[in-house]
Amino acid sequence: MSEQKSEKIKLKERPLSPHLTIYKPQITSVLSITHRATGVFLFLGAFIFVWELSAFARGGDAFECYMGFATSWLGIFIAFFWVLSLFYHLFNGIRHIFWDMGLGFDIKTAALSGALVVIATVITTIYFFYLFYKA
Amino acid sequence: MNFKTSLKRAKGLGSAKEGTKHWLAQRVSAVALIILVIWMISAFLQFPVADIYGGGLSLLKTREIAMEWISHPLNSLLCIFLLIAMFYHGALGMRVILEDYVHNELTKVLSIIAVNILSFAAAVIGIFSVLSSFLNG
Repeated sequence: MSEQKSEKIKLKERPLSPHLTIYKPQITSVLSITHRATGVFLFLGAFIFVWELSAFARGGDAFECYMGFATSWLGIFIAFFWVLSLFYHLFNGIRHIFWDMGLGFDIKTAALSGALVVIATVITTIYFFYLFYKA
Repeated sequence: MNFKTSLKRAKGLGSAKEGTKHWLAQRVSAVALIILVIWMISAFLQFPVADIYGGGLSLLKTREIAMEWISHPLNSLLCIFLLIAMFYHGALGMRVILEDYVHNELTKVLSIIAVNILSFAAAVIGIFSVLSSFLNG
């Protein structure tokens, strides 16, 4: 009887399934939430892209106003993280499509492809802004 | 008295019975975006961006170059495809995120509707801007 009781208490104290605060971050889970975060950021940035298109179409003050923003430090800061997010979401999205085809599910492959996504993102982003700024 | 069989009752519960379309649309738009985004990045790098940001190119000249580019039918057409795929994919993705993290039913539904309206409006404004540039460029 008493044994049963202590067993019950033990069960109660056990953590429930994935509580993020106590769940050990792994490359797969971190990259997964990053996919979502970059997706949200890309979605928001898409509205700036529309602002750009409409500013170019309208010309005059609207165009000058947009270019003032685009060449400001804030504009460049946002553009940098938008392009970074774009490359990340692109590469990780390709990884997702392979999963949808049933490929690369085992832990080793998933971790390796995740690392490749990060490396590809860093290289392409640096290369992109190198072309951006090369004299 | 309830004459429904257990199977009939169970069929009304559980899964949302939809979502395959949403899932597939997300993938189709994703594949389209892979192509369109790579095209857009390579097109963007054709511009003398270094000169624009370095101040070596006037604003007037910058717009002239962009207008010249968009006046090519293929460029404006792919730009419109990009806008459609981008906001469609974005709205689908935002919906999944809102469904996962917003627990208040009313807030959830309203925010999904807001995302859809904003996405649609932005895509329309973008398409009109491209068309306007194409015709006047």
